[in-house]
Amino acid sequence: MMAVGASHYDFDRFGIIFRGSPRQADCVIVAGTVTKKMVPVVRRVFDQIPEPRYVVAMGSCACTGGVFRTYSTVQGCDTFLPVDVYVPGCPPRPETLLEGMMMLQEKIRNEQARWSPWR
Amino acid sequence: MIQKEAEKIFETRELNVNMGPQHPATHGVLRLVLDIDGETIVKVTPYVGYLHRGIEKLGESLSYFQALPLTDRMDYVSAMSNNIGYVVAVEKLFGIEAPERAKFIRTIVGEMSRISNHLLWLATHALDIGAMTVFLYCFREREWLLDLFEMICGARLTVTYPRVGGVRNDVPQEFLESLWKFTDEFPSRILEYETLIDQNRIWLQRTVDIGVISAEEAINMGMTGPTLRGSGVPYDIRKHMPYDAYDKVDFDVPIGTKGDTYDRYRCRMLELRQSNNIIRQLIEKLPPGPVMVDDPKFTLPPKDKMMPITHPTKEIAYFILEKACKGCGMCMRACPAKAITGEKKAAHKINQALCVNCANCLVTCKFKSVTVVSGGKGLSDEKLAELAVAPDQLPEDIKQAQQLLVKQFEFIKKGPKAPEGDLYVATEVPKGELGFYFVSDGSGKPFRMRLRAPSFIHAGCLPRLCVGHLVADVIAAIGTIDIVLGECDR
Amino acid sequence: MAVTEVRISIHTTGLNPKDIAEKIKGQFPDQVIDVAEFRDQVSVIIKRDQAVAVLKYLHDDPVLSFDHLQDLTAVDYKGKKDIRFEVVYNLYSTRYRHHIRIRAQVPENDTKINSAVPVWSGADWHERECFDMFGIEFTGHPDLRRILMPEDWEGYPLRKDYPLKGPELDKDWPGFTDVLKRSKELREFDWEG
Repeated sequence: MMAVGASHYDFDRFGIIFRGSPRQADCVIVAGTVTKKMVPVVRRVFDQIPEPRYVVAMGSCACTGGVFRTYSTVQGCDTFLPVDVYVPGCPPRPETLLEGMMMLQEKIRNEQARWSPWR
Repeated sequence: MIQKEAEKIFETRELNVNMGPQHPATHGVLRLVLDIDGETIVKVTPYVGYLHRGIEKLGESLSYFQALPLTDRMDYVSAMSNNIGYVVAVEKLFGIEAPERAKFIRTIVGEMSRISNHLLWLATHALDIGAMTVFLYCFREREWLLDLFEMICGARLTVTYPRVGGVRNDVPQEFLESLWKFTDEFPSRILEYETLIDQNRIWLQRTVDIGVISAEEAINMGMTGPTLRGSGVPYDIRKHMPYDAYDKVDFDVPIGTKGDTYDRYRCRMLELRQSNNIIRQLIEKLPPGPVMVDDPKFTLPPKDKMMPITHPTKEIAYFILEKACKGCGMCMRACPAKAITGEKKAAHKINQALCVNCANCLVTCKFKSVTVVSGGKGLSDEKLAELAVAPDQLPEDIKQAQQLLVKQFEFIKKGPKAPEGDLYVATEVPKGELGFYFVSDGSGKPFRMRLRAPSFIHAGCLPRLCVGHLVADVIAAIGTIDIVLGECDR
Repeated sequence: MAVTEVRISIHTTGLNPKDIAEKIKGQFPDQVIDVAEFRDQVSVIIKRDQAVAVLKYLHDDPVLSFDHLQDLTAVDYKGKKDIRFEVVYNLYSTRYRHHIRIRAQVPENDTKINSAVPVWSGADWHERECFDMFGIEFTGHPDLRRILMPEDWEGYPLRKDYPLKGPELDKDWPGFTDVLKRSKELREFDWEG
């Protein structure tokens, strides 16, 4: 995820900019394993994002729990978050994450009913 | 009296600030609770465990060979070093020795991983302190190294390239050439970073005399790696307990004098040069030969010999011979696709539509009733019964492939048995001392697998480094100990 | 420049671990139960009562001078040994370059042992982790709380009788199940395109 932000892959050219606070964000990327201890925190971060908001699950662990079928791991963050895009891979290649974000942009573009026609 | 009045009017109290676990500067999911008096820090309480996935417990349920990929996911920044640490430990437990060439390759990729780790550390540390350009410069070189990793094993971060008893495959010639070019250019790149920050006034103000720790205290707290060496303790496992090919190369260990953030930064910058040097020496000395131990106990059977069964173009089908089947139900339980049906003590049947050709039934059957029909895919049961022959009358290559397949199953499912005992093996990963403590009970799985993660200890030292400084220096302290929370929490 | 590069020789000159084991035996004859050796690594198995005294001796003795606590952990020998737990200390001397492993036996019905924090302050988090994962109490520890698991978690995950996949969903950690319940309630407000 750091590599995507750096110059080699460059998130910014697709209009995606990292923000430090959930209150300024439109989308949250759940990167990596979600543990049970982390669940209340992730949910709170999601609740702080103003509507409309989107969730990208990045990596196998965030999508399904991955190899970690253990006592402390949540089997996929879709158990408590409405996930829009699943990005597979362990970890996903930067291109994959870019593709996922572009799919999300496509999805938002097609959401006609949610937006006013004068947008 | 006046003072008391003044105290009453200007009553002060400590402020409690929560930092993390979703804070961009904490390098992951570290949570700190700071008690601050104005801008000065009085107390720091780190909370970890937000990424605890139970790798130690999971390792107890897997064989020694299966647990290897879990070690990538600990310190995902320098996965190669973690793999090497694990592999060295398991090799010592089994009492095997990797071939010379494999040892050299492992040392090369280990040092590459050290460079890429230190580059990421420098990038994020500088970004936290406020130097954005260094971040972009460092990632330029890091991408080069990750491309090289991709060339040898196909993955950028979670490599799983070293194996118990050697490495997965030999390195291609282009890899060595490209790496040689990298080592040619890299020293000038280090100078580039240093021109940006080394004598930069802001950098000096943010790092000099911040987080000072003395040598005695540092070693007493269990610090290792560059974090310890910054305080002037020449403890480097590559020199103290050489593993792989470290006893065949000539390198120095940089140590600091004061033990502040700047010294630790300098140590890591000099380590980059030393690692570059080590790689150059090793490429020059790289001996020819095999890269994996020649022992069928520790290696998977050759894939091309299994091709008569496993290759998709062979279109094989599995079939149960009615005469030989005793109806024990073993295959039914082993079938993952639930394609086998049948009553007890009567001949079982494979539903060809559901069969996924996994060969589980072939391996589990004790009565030699399961056979392979070459080119039998999609045929009806009657036709298969006509074509099927008893397992011992099959062609020689299929028979051999069958035996190898059984061997592979046993290797994967049970794993080779380790001798009984316990041992602790430490290796020098970029962050410090990574130790593996195994307790073996003589079976194929570790009875107890313990990972001594350097980040865990270093995170515990945070309170000591931060107290008395300003809030902004907490970021510098987190950066200087170089923690990755995946390794810290395991 | 403050940082210097030093050359460290590879040759090790430390004591033979067997001699160290003999020394411990000589100093604490009634504490040492057994000495085990595997792959040139020697472990001294001791009783838990004087464990910290043994460790303090190893740390302070000028000839031994074990200044680096490499690792502190516990092992659950359920069904293998009569005394269920063992607390394992891996020690190393950076000055003389020798190793020793100390294993202190802790019975199941009274899982208590003295804390090694006064000897090595780095033992702090190791002991908290041991407490978290095995439920071994370190008396004299300054701040014995759970470290990796949530503070109100039930059970000790690394014990052998704890299931790998954890408790059932209805008996799971309330912090987790509450969020699951709440997110199910909130799901009706989610946008469905």
